[in-house]
Amino acid sequence: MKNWRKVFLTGCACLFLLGMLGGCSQMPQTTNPQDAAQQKQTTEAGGKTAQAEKEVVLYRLPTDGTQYFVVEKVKIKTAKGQEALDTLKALVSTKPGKGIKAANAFPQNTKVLGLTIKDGVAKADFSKELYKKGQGEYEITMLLYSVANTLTEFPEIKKVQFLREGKPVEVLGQMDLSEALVRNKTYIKK
Amino acid sequence: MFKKILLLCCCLFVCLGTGLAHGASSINKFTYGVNRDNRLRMVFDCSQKTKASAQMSERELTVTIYGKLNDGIAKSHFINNSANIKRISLEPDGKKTILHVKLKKTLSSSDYKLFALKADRVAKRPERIVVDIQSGPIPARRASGSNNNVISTAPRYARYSVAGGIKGKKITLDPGHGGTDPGAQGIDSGVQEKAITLPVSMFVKKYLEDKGAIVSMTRIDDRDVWGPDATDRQELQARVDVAENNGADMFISIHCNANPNRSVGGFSTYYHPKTDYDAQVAQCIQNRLLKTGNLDDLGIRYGNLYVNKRCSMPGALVELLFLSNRREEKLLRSNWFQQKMAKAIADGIEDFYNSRN
Repeated sequence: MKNWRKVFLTGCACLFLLGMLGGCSQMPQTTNPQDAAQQKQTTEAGGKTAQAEKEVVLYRLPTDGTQYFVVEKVKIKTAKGQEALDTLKALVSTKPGKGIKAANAFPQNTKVLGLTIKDGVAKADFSKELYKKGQGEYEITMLLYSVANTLTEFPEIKKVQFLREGKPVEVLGQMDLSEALVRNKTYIKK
Repeated sequence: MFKKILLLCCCLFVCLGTGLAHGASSINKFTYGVNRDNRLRMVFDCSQKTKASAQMSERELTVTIYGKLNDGIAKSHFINNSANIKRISLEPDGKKTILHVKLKKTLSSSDYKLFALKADRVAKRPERIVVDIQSGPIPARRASGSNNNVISTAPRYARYSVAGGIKGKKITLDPGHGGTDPGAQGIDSGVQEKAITLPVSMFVKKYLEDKGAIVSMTRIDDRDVWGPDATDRQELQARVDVAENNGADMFISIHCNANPNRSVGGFSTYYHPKTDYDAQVAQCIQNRLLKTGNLDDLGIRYGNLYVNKRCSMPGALVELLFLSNRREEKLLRSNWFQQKMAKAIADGIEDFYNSRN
């Protein structure tokens, strides 16, 4: 009787393990586009030459959630032809300086994947984190116009088109992104 | 002894459970409907990822789904409002299910589509097999917009009126989000934005009708306006379409705000200066909203928002307080404050029309 029970128990345990293994084998099917994005970023950052310091203007989100941007002037290291891209990277990945009542409100892990400028339109490519759902309208409009206003400080940029990992974005929240954004002066304190 | 038997039973149960999950798929639900583009959509809710194939023969589309049909599902269905489809039937065939769609004329391959939709945990939807068939001509009204995804930006009706007071004005109200799109979420209570925008909009409707306006709504219950499978853009355009098709004089969309910084709060009203009146409508509503209590003023804002921009008539998008703000979340959830905000919106709209006289 005891032996029979042992055999039965072992059998059950084996079956259970098999079942678990079967279940696990299906798990890791999805690939993480984040990894790919990160790789692109590192290769892009690799081949930089002759850097110089340049003062640029960043439009930051106010910490107190009021209606106007906080304008911050910062010095960044950049190479010729890379100024707009490096400025955008500074906006997205650096914190505001001490004493400035502004915050970096970009969703965590948001990355700039690239920036191309043609005929006055800058195509700004971001990782998927920027386009996550459930963000409030205040944050979305402020974030995207902080990009548009920062980039349109450069005379060669008149409009900004948003890309999500290389693809054009039509809508984010309630915002219409199917056409490139122009500078929003209503968010700048006169 | 009893414990051991219980343990054994548990083991067996788990084994059986895992075994079933890898077994044959089953079809648990079958739904269908014809949308306003005359597209018939048939959806099979499956227990797991399921294969399917389609074949077009002489006046019949046959789709084989590799899942067992549950007994409770009716096998024969008549489509009433379709020009080309006579009857659809489901034939169980062992572990397979064969869908027969009898047609009045043979379809080309571009007239039907077979695809799978993945399980969606947020919307609580299982793995699905979807069959779309163009069951009749696409109505001319939407042909240019829906056929090739190009949405016209030109105003279709420039016939709105701003003069003569609020009485008789056609106003379209748009309760933000709904259906598969919950919008933002309250941090303390978990309340969803869609569950606040709807009652507030219904109150606004009542107040506006009391003032003599004719109100149309983009939705009156918890649903997607275009449909659950819409892109974000299609969903927003469907709301614009309601206003356009009703020949509205004004379009007001109602939303709640949210921010990672929980101290941020206040009212804001968005507009797009496509007509001379948009900013003024927004300002009138914002002024009234600020009188509802001691709440922050984020001002009227230009935000390039889709519904504001694409509607041909004047309008605004109201962002009622912040669901992320503890005090404001409480206010948003309370019935009396919902009514108070609704009254403020209706009064603001009346102020606008009065100022045009």
